[in-house]
Amino acid sequence: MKKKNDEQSECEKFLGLVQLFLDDEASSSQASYINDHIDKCAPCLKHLSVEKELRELIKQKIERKEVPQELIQAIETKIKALVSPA
Amino acid sequence: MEVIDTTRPLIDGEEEENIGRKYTYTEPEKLRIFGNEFMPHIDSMYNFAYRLTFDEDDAKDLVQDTYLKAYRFVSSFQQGTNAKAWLYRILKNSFINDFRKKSKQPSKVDYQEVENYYNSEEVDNNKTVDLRIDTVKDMIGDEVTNALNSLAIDFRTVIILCDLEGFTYEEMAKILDIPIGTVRSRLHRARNLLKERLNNYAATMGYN
Repeated sequence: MKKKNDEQSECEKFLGLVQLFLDDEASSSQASYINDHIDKCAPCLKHLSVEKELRELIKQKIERKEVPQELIQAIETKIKALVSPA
Repeated sequence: MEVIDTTRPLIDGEEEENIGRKYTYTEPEKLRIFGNEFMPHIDSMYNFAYRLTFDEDDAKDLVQDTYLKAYRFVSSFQQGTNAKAWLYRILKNSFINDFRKKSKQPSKVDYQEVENYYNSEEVDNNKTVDLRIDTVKDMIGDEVTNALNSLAIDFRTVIILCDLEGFTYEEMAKILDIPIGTVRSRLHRARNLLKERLNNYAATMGYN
């Protein structure tokens, strides 16, 4: 590991930025660092795709509940009562 | 070290948004804002409430409370600004102030998880947990949901806000009353914990 210090620190930099990149929070220079790095580093490219898939999975697999109609009605009724107290 | 004291009574914070700035609306304007800017978010508000409370009735109560507060404090909302983030912030504060007290959470595990996080001198944004994505892909939705639900509330919340609702770090910082740096490190930690849970599920269920 020690003899590969430069590569290692490049990968560390990548790891420090990858979350920002995937969350659309990276600056343009950070984003280009990521893009350049994955062109030459297969393990980091793999890491990036796993992280991306994790986010996709969360979106796909977490079920969304439908809001109960009676809740909407209840809120609307209460608001009306506030506006024009009987 | 960042310490978030969730026991402190939050200022009935919603009206403090924009540092006390007030807007004057007529009654019809209020109703229009309510109908056009607040109600369209009810679906995601309900889902957020359900992910916090795990109970349909509690979620309904929480959403209703939130909307009534939103109406009451509408003068601190600037028309045309980010209603969704504003509503989420009210809901989150209502949950902490009113609902959390009567719920059975947090569990011991939750407590320790959070404790470890806040006690670590600095959060290492580089530390990462590997995930065997191919095994997780085969999981049914319930398992991913259970893994998410098993996270302590602070961690669960950032994943919901970021990955399910698509809020930016800046919006999340406002909703949660924490600095952006904390959003970032908490999210990092939350995703690592989620990966650990998913790996554990995969192992116990014989996916690998």
